Amino acid sequence: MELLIDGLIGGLILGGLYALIALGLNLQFGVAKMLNLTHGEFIMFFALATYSFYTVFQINPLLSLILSGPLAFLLGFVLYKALFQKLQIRSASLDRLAASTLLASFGLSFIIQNVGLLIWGGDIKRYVYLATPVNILGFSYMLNRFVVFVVAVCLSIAIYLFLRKTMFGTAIRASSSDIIGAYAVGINVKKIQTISFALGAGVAGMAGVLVSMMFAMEPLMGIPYTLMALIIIVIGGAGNFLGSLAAGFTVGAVEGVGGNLLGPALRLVLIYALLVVILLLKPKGLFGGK
Amino acid sequence: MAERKKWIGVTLIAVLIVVLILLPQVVTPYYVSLLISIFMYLALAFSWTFFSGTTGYISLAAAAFFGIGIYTMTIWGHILSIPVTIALAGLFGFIFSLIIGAATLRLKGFYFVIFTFGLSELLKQTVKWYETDVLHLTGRWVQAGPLSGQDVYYLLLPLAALVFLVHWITQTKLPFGYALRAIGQDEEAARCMGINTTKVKVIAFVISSTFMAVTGAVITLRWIYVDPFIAFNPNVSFMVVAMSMLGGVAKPYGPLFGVIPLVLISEFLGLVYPRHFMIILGAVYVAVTYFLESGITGLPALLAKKRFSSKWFSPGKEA
Repeated sequence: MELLIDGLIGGLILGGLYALIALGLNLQFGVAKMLNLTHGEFIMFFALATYSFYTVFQINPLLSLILSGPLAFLLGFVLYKALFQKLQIRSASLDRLAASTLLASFGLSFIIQNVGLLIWGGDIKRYVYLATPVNILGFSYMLNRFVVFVVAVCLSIAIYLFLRKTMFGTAIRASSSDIIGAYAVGINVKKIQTISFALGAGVAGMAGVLVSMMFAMEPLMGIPYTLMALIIIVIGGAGNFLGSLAAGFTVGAVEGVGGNLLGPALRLVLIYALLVVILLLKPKGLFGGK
Repeated sequence: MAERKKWIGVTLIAVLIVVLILLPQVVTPYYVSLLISIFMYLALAFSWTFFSGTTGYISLAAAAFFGIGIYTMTIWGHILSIPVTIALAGLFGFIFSLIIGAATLRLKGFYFVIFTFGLSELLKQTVKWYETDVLHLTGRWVQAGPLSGQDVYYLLLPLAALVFLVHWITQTKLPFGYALRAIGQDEEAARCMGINTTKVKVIAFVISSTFMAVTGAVITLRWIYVDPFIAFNPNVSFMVVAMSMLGGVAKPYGPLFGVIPLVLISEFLGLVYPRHFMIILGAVYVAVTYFLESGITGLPALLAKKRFSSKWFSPGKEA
């Protein structure tokens, strides 16, 4: 029973981070229809950069957090304009677009991973920040995890409110649910897609800083995050932003509880089994529906 | 005149076959190893193109079936005879792909890609869990063989040739090939024409996967140690996709032009720039999608289209 609760709390804390990361990818895939496998590499790059800034220049990770958003946004913007938008122009169908962005971003992720290896080397790095234990319901967790959770949730809520309450956010939601309709009502869909993509990248950058506070890092760490984000998007429904938030927490909880009850080896089995089952039974996601 | 061209073509092919058969006898073992890589990837790429290249359902499940073949040979290769084990690997691939295919071929595009990838990973993690937690093994030694480079080559050469023939005959002579291409171009229209798209897709998927499993079983005879991460390595899936796309899927012999360059490039990079190998490989992937979206064999058509398109009339472009 204790394992269950501990797993649940730990899983929800992790779930907050997952939800944020998935939200970022959803902005890119749901709106711009790009399968961006470099999402995890953004996370990796900013995580390791935060590490370097903290250990070498003594820059507070929270400061890095604030800086990372705009910087990652800019990088995402450039990446979209330089590569992905060109692919969109020349793809004859959405399926071809998925295939070509898959291959291109896969190749790009190779490049980024290995640049990371060249810069930071292959050994595992971690730094200690806010590592005081905090007591929740009798279980102890590190303060930094808690901070990450709070920040991730705040960011997610902020983005969600942005999507719901602002004109721009509504335009994004419109483009994600019906591109032709969005064009029809006069939305500059190209601009929206570019900004969405860049926003998604900005989220990834910030998530990277958050990850660096919690976990050990090495240049190949990005891959599981990309996969997790993809799985969460599928479960939540591509393009469904609330869905990916909910799915993020769900997957986090499943992983936490499952990992505690069934052991680490089955943890990944559980997650992929969940993906496969959802795709077989409800391909549009648990919360999708179009 | 056409008669003579046909005879020249047949002679050239005969010469090629003789050369390919004699090659391992006259070159060093290193080159035999290289040829083995080439023919292994040729078998995989032609299998992949048979289904995914034609229908447009990009599958990342190559690693799954390849791995099934590998594990079959690892576990039973020394208990049953090698030919029987190879057939058994094919059977496992057949059964597994039949189950998968029937259940999933209503998934489209992106969802299908993710599903095949998730499936491969699921298989890998399940096998890993079973081996580690239930059987307490980290990996297995391959006890069948190991066969010499030449022996494996003489297994892979006919295998790759067979897969190529199946693909080529299907695409050029059989209505089934038309059905596959129709699905690839417009599945709705294909269904309206009366093609049973589900049946066609499942059959092609099963044939493709069975060949991949057989290839996995054969290559294992060159290996000594196997574990789930080696057998179900997702890089194999991605390499196969990249090779097929680089070569081009429009023509049946397309994958040839993707497999040979990429195997050679990998070899070259691995030797000369080992630290930058992955970066350059990644750059190749990007370049392929950026500049060569129809693949190398699609280049003539692509260039012709560019030559003839103008500001006022561009065939094939969206409005």
